[in-house]
Amino acid sequence: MSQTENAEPLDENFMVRTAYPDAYQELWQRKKLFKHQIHLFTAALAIGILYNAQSQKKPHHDIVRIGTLSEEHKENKDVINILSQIAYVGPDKRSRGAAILSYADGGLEILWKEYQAQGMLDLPRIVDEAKKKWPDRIVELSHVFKGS
Amino acid sequence: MLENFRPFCSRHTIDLSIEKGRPVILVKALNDVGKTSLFKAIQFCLYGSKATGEKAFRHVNRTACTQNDGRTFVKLTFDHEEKLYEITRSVEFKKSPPGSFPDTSDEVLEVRVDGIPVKLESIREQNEYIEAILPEDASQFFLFDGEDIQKYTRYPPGEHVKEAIEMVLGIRELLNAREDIENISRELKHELDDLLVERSKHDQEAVAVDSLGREIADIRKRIEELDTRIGQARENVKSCDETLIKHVAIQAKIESRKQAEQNRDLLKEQIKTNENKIREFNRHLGVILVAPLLRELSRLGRKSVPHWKRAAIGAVLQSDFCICDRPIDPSIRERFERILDKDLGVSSLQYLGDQATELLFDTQPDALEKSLYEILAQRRDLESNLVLQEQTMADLNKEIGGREDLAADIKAAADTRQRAAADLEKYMVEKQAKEMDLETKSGEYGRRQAKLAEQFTDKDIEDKKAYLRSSDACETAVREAIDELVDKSKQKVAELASKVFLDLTNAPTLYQGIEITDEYELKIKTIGGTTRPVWDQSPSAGQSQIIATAYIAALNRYTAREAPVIVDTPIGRLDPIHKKNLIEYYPEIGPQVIILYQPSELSSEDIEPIAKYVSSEWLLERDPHNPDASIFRRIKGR
Repeated sequence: MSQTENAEPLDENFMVRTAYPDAYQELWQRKKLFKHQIHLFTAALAIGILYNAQSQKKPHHDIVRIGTLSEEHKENKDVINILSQIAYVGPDKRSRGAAILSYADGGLEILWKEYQAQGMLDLPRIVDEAKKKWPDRIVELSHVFKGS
Repeated sequence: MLENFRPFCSRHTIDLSIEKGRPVILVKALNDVGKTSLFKAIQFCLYGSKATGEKAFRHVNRTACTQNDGRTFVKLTFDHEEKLYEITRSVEFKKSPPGSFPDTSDEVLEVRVDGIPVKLESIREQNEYIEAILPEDASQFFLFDGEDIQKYTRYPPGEHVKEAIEMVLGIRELLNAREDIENISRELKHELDDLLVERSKHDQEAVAVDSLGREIADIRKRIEELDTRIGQARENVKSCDETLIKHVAIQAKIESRKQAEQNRDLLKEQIKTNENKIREFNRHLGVILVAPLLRELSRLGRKSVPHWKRAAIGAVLQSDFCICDRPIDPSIRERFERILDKDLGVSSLQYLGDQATELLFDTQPDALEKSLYEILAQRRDLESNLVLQEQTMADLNKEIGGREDLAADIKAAADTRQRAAADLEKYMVEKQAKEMDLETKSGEYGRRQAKLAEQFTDKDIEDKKAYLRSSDACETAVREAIDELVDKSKQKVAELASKVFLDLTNAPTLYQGIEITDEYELKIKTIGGTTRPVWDQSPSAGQSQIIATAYIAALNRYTAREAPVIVDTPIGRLDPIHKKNLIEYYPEIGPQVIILYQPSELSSEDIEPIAKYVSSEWLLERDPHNPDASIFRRIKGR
């Protein structure tokens, strides 16, 4: 199987899930920090990949099927697609899907910890720390870029 | 010397004597250490606890009274009219449990002059003795709080202030003398009248003159009644004015609170809008967070073999011949295969790079990040403004209490004032008429009485006539002296107050000076030529303090009293120009100037210009062995 197969977008039937529906309810529904859950999912996935944080919990709560996302969410879909190819290198779509969900919940655990400690999400600090962390993380991810 | 007075536990002595050419004593203390207590100690010693506005038990040191029964006292030692005075006022206290006030005895005043005790038995005698040294009413111009003196500029002066000013300038004594002579004169006239009636029992004219005398006495009585009523009406008007000023100030605060409420509601709306903006914006958080990764992917993608090249090489290698129909050289084939092998490993990277480049182009994460910071900065501004508004509202609520609208109260106070002012006007008019009547009838009475008296030449009548002439002459002389003194004093005080004010103010080009009316009301003369009462111009707190200081300085210069000037809170909230001017002026305000200040009012740089006038400098600080007590420490001087 060629490496380009790994570069294919996520299956349209892929279901975005989480092991932390309460955290989603709090940040999305109650605190209204995000307009749609997929926005929180995307940010959490980015954090999870950045800090190489994978949750050990099994995601059980459905959020949205990727194919049902409208054009309005193209940006988030694109980010998820790119990160999905970083999250898992290989042809197995099921494993890739599992890796995405695990990273997204790992990132959510980090955000949730911060939210519980501070009572808020300090976005400027989160973005700033991400900028500082990426150079090291990119070195760690070099095997992915070599397509190994 | 103080013992067990307020924060001063046990005995403490502070030497406030001055050297020649160095009239200033500085006493520095943080808030709540005892600066104002030192000020109150002087008031207590001279005039008793009533002058401090607090009961005697409040002046007892709280630590001392929990230990044993004891005594609280303040002793002042000073030179006055070339004699050494020692004045001690004390109270005995009973031991009391912590947190409660002790029982105290009556205050005791002891006076020694050149070491010899002065016998002062009754409270009245004691008060009169101290009043002769420095009257309590006059002391307000010697012992004062720098911020509190603004009151002299806030309202038209009442009778009390007017009397105090007359006392300071020595006019009050003359006025008292005039009143005494008038009483003597009146008494003599009555006595002469009685003699004349007795001597000519059946003389119709004598009876008529006697009757006229009684009529005059009634008019005088009515004038006295009217004086009392006028005094009451003036007090009523003043009280209404004060109520009105208070109500209007609170009403203004109520309006400010309404405005603050509107601002708060607007800010809350804006914060809500901002929250929505942030929520809307957070759709981009993912792309902002991964922007560095996207840039790296885009860079790596560009470095790999482009798709078109890979496709072309793949197509060539499918045959043994090149597109030019010549066989492919084995070395070229090997090279092409190497490129494709390498490219096979990075084909997904190529794909990722393309995606990343496209996403970066579409979303411009740098611009998004900038927008995010702008929205968040706006949020911070809105939130801090909201905190400010809420703080403002809380402060206003504290001052306003539960009051919602004072328009009705203001109207009621204005109506009451109008009635009181009408009463005042009515009494004044009646008094004026009575005074005219009195003058006419007194003249007639004098003439008729003199004519009648000429008929009798016995010794008693001659003596009374002679006394009467003497007292009339005295009264005239005193009246003239008063008129002259009042005019001269006022003129001198106004001139000096103007000079000091122009030296101290931060806007000397706007003013010509200060004027003092017959009622001792202060008026400000502007360069434009207008003259308006100070209180009518609503000056700022700083400007009020400067005007009042100039007035007090001038009163002190021409006072008939000899006393040190003791200033608490000398600077208050003055701006830097007023502050500098005032500090440099203080050495001139009196022969001995004691300044009680806290460090934020005066720094060592501020004091530098007057350092050469300072005799000693004291620090008032908490006792390291007893945090509830304070001690003095000399930090400069002998």
